[in-house]
Amino acid sequence: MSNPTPTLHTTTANDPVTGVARQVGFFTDTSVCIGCKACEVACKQWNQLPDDGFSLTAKSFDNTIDLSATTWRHVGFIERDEPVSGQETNLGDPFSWLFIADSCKHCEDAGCLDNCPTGALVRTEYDTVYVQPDICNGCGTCVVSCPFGVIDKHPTDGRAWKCTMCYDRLKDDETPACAQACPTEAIAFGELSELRERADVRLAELHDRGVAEARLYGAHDDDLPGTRGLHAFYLLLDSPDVYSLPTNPVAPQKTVNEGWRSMAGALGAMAAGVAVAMLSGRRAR
Amino acid sequence: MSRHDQRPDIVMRHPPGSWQALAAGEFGSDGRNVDTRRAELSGEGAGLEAGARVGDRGHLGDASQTTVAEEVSKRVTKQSRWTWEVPAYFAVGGMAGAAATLAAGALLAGLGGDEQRLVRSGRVIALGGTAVGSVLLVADLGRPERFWHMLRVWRPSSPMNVGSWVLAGFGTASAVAAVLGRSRNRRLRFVGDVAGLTAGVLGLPMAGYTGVLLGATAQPAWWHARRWLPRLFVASAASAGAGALELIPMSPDEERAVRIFAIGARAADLAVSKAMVHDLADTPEVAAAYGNGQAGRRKKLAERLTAGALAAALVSSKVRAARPLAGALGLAGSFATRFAVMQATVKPGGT
Amino acid sequence: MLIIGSNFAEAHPVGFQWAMEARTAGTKIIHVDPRFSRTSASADQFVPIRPGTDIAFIGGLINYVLTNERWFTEFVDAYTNAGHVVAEGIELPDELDGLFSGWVTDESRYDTATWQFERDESGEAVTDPTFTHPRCVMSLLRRHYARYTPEMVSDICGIDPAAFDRAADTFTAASGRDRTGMVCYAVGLTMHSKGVQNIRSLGVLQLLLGNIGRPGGGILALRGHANVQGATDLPVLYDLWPGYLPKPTADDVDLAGYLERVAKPTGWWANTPAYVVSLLKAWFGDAATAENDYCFDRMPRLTGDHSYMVTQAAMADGAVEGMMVAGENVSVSSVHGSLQRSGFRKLRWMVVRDLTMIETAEFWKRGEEYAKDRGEDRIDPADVDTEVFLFPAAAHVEKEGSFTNTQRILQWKDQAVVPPGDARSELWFTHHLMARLRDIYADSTDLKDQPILDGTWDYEVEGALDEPSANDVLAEIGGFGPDGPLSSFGELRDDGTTSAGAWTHVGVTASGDNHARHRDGTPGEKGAALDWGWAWPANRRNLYNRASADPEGRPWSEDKALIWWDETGGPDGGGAWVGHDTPDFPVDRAPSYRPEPGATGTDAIAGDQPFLMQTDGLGALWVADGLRDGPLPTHYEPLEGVAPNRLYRQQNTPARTQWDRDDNPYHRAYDDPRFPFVLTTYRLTETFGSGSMANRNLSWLGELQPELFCEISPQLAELRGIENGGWVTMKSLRAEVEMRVLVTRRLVPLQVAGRTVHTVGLPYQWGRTGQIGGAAPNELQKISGEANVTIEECKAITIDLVPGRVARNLRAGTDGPLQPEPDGDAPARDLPGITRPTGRHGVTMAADQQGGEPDSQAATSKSEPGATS
Ligand SMILES: Nc1nc2c(c(=O)[nH]1)N[C@H]1C(S)=C(S)[C@@H](COP(=O)(O)OP(=O)(O)OC[C@H]3O[C@@H](n4cnc5c(=O)[nH]c(N)nc54)[C@H](O)[C@@H]3O)O[C@H]1N2
Ligand SMILES: Nc1nc2c(c(=O)[nH]1)N[C@H]1C(S)=C(S)[C@@H](COP(=O)(O)OP(=O)(O)OC[C@H]3O[C@@H](n4cnc5c(=O)[nH]c(N)nc54)[C@H](O)[C@@H]3O)O[C@H]1N2
Ligand code: SF4
Ligand code: SF4
Ligand code: SF4
Ligand code: SF4
Ligand code: SF4
Ligand SMILES: [Mo]
Repeated sequence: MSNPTPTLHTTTANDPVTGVARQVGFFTDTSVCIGCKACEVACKQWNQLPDDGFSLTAKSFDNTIDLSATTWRHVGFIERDEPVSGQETNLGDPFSWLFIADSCKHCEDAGCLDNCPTGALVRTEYDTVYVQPDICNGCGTCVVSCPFGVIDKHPTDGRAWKCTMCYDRLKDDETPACAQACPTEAIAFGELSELRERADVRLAELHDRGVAEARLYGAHDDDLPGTRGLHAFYLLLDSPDVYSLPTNPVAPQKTVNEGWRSMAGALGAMAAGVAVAMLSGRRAR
Repeated sequence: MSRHDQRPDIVMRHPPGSWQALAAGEFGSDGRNVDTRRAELSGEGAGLEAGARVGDRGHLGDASQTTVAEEVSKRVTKQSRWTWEVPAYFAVGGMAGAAATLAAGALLAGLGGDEQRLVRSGRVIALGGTAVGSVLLVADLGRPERFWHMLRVWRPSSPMNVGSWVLAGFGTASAVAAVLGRSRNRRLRFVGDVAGLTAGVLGLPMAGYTGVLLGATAQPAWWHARRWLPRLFVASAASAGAGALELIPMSPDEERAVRIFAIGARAADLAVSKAMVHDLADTPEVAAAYGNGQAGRRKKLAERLTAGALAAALVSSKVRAARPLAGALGLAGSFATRFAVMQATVKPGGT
Repeated sequence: MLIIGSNFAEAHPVGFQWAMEARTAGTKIIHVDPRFSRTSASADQFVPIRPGTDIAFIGGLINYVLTNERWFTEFVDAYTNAGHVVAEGIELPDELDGLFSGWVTDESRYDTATWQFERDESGEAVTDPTFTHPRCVMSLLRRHYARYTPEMVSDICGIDPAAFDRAADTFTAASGRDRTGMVCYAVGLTMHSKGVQNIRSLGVLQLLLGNIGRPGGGILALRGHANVQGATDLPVLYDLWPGYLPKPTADDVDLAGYLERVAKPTGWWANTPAYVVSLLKAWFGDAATAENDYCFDRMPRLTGDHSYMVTQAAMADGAVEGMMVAGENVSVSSVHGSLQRSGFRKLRWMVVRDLTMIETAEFWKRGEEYAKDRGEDRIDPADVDTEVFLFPAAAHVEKEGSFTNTQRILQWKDQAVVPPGDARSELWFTHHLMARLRDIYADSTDLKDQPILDGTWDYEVEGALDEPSANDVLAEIGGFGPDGPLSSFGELRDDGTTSAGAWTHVGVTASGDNHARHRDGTPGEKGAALDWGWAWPANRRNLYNRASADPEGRPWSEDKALIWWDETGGPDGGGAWVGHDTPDFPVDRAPSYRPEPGATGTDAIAGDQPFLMQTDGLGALWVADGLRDGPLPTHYEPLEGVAPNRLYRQQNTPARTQWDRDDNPYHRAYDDPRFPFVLTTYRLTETFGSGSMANRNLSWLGELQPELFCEISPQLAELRGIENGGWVTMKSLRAEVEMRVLVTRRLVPLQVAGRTVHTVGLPYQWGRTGQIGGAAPNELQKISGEANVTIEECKAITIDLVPGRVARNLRAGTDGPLQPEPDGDAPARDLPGITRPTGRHGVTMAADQQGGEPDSQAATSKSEPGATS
């Protein structure tokens, strides 16, 4: 097994072929997602991920439930008692069925990356976040550092895994497998700046049609100050928590200094305590 | 006799790459559907084992009548995959750090005369703690043989990384101090003392960085307590460091110094613990994470043990037998604190 | 866009991208379905409907068009038979309590004399352009559909009248010069005892709205398997030859007699002789001469209905020797599993070709009646005498060939990998089987062996596996003339100078070039991307596209232009049809052309009559010939219904096929507490077909839908005390099957004339072989056939549902009806169908054995291009 090992980039690198800086990502438009799970299967197929076992959860059509070390793209199904504007369901009380194809967000401020002690998590030349499997030692820090609950440690393999934005395909100038498989282009892949424009246009279009509840999630830096722009961002039809997305995700290292500061204070106290103790010990003589 | 009886049973022979083997699910049966004899397994996840996740998913019992939205929203952030080794390390490492600091203090204060029992036992505890702690830490890694990758990079944004460097420095210094500090060669002893002082300084972050580490995660229970966990952990480490020393008989001045430190540490621990709960009341889910369930029970136990340790330390100046008791309770309280915090998780997430 | 009887998004996700694109651009999507599916989630309006009542809903739309004068007047006037006057004596179901005039009770069939058009002395149909004649088609439509009011639709389908009005208003507004609307359907409409009439209703609706032959219009069958269209074309249907030519029957003594029967004097089918002779030339080559009727005698004749359910019954009666199954897993996908297995056990041999081990090949040991632990009268696999041969088949990526998609476009694919082990392609198997047979019979002079020896069989074999060349086969289908490959079916002759394996496909290899391999097309380009693959016939993408222009040949509107008449077009400047698509009309026929009296073939079609395949070139609002169950669609209840027919006493469709046998009991008593719920079946995106090549063997799909389950509403769950995720047992008169349950608001109880009807949804794609499982839900089904094409009715049966796992694993195939009839006589609810009693299955051998009379059913099934399977 050979894994490409990217070098650590703190800023966007130039595309090796064109010399142009490339910042790529996904714009996932849940309003055109049809919940077909082609993306989920394509991801497994391309990355040769194993199945998660067979168990019926009886939670709508969702039997893989969440992102994990072996499910890097997951389609969620939300049946709820709220309407979607402009849709008539004739099911008695208001109803709608929402779908979301979720994956790693490749955050601008990535909790997983900044907390990874080994440097296994790196930012690639495409400005995506990538775990180097030959570096990761399975310390599990990233698992608790992702505000979206994306990355996970595999119980037997021991390492942490998540969506690579198909780093190996990007290297070959190919579209990531999930986006390639998506029949409705609900997962649009491309240059980030373009995708952001596209998202704005689509949002305006939906608002024009009266779908007032449509909103972007993570498209722009100031939407989610805690992580800044997501490189895989979404158009949602309700508030993020409905989709099991955090309303205000914060990359934990944003606040790490608060921790260090309070530690410093405590340590000052402890040092003082030591001094006091020693002095009183001396006085005892 | 039916014709069936005269026929041999269907025999399935599966030469490599055969169709029958595929049909019998002989390859592809690892959940990857790739015939390894016909295709190269080079995908990113090719090495992962199948079926390892089943137990982790929502199952029937909790499914009935809940809406999917409710059900999934519990999973916004992932539970930590850390097992008991990690909180145990937190306790052991903290204890080691505080012990080393006390030892350094004693050295500077010149406590203990020639015997230097406080200095020496502090150093031994520091070394032992580092050794045990490192084993615990490595054991928890998914790929233990790659433990040294922690020191591959210097990543100040990662408390785990910073902590690893601290641990490495602290461990080295403790080892040098413990070994050379007893040398008869004066120069070597000097080196040992310098190392001891270094360990004493590094012992401070050793006692506290784990609190920063937990506070710098996306786990709501920890993140919301990010200003409190370092304080709690420092106090707890101090209590444990003192506790370990309380188990060892020393000269009266040394014992007094340790006792006073222990009393302060335990009082601080209890105070921080209360203050933290009070502060977290604004976010009831987070407060509940520390107040309810197993985490809550452990937290209560920790507080009781620490309070017991405090009381024992207070009386130990009069009642000698209370001294080791205080030490044991202090240590136990510190362990309980770490396990309690580790257990605290917020169910319906969002940071 | 109206999607009815199809789960477009789930079963055709790749095609659905265009629906989503249209929706993004502003198209309104209406989805009419018994359950809210992923398609509904992507629609603007979802209308829940009771299974098996679509004719009432579509009839309601037709009534809406007629009463609100929403039809496209110019289109209807010019292009349909709306003005034709029907013979005296025609009576409609309202007058005859549910039957049209002409029902012959003794024979359980219609005499269609009163359905015919009135003709004047010269034989011309009498028409009334003012639509006032009481017997003109428009008047009959008005009369017939007058009762299909929103209230009636509500009483039959359970659809709220206001919701119906909104849907009707939205859809019927998509009509006229500037607008079109399309209907998409699939097996949710076809798999009913009235499947054909369901689609016919759409035909009436779309003709009235002028939505046929026009861009953005049409009735789109979303066909099933990747190549089911190709399979039907060439064909796998028992009663057809390639290109939808009817197979000869035992009564067709010679070619002339056969052609006399099947060729039509006017319209497209007048060319039948050229097609048939060219087909025989392709099959028999030089051996086929005018003198020997082009080897017509070598071809087998139909002796009756040999469709699958007929054969299934025959097998159960021990009348079938052996069976070959290739690329189908009938044990799971065909109805009434235990009846099938009881038949399989009576076969002497069975040959199965498949990619994986499937239930069909394991019928002798898999199936509920083998359960050792229940009852003594279970079956011991050791007692099964059938010898089963399982051959490994090569999968689509392991062989070259073509897929014909739902738009009739052939798309060639190359071989990607060599098949593993002993796996071989269908082509390889057939070719080498035939080669061996020819060796065996090489010296025979026996006349009965001549078909084997006379056939042309000269395909190149290539490669290490001796794989016959698929290109050669395509070339044979595409046809040859004296000058090499043919370029259009117009070149076919009935004099033996041309050959073609399917007239429809002539041109696919024009100039020796494999056009199916072409891949030029600009996405988003207006028009038809004619260089992407090749569509039969003649690379036409939109059938009847002459109707996209007005009678004078001008596009109805600029926006909706597809082809049009160019006065100065054509090679000689004499005018031609031009545009974005290949014209489906004689290219040089001016709109002003009027046929001479007595003209034949397509010459009899005027320049403003777009429907070339019809004898009169007109869209058939009224069908005088060709249907066995009525000239107009009218509502009947499913064979197993939960409510009485609201319209008249005739409960079920009259001319259906049914098998009255102990091992095939029907539940025919509405309001019966034993089976109070309606079951409908369908697919999931995550599963495919019988599940053997997808979910049950591919773990990436298996994990997504890992177990057999049904879907019910919270109300039904409450009624029966069922918990989400728990076990339930589903019971029909044929079987009991246990499964898990998903309680979801996506299903809703409907109010149907004072009754509350609970629908249960069940994906049918599970079985006992493979890594995930559950019983095959088709165990629950019965065999019964639609009147025209004998399709099974598996989308609406009655069942009961109780919490808990199965208690008795009984099966009608071995145990007979699972419940005694209720006390007292079950109400006689309708006229009998065309029954096929035990031992009579349309199979001669069985009839001989039973000493019965010849079957009364003529063996002419009316499979139409585009019928969905
Ligand atoms: N993923 C996937 N795709 C497939 C297949 C597959 O197995 N899996 N199979 C392919 C094949 S072979 C075929 S034929 C096509 C079939 O394609 P579809 O016909 O679209 O598929 P189905 O799911 O069988 O049923 C269609 C819908 O009909 C509804 N329905 C049931 N009864 C009625 C009724 O009485 N009236 C109305 N209006 N609706 C009704 C069902 O609820 C269901 O939503 O799909 C093809 N595509
Ligand atoms: N209740 C209910 N029953 C239904 C339906 C329904 O809607 N409701 N739908 C019906 C419909 S429309 C259909 S089409 C059927 C589908 O029923 P089937 O056609 O029986 O289902 P598939 O699983 O598609 O079967 C195809 C088989 O062919 C094998 N195969 C694939 N490729 C090849 C090949 O190249 N060569 C050979 N020899 N084998 C190959 C596969 O492994 C698989 O076992 O189910 C029908 N049954
Ligand atoms: S979503 Fe989580 S795993 Fe992905 S980059 Fe952001 S923090 Fe890392
Ligand atoms: S588990 Fe691996 S990727 Fe995650 S933080 Fe640790 S070393 Fe980095
Ligand atoms: S980008 Fe690649 S790795 Fe990431 S979800 Fe898509 S297919 Fe999976
Ligand atoms: S492939 Fe596209 S449409 Fe299908 S579930 Fe994924 S995002 Fe949605
Ligand atoms: S399975 Fe094949 S034919 Fe069916 S939707 Fe997917 S790509 Fe199209
Ligand atoms: Mo089908």
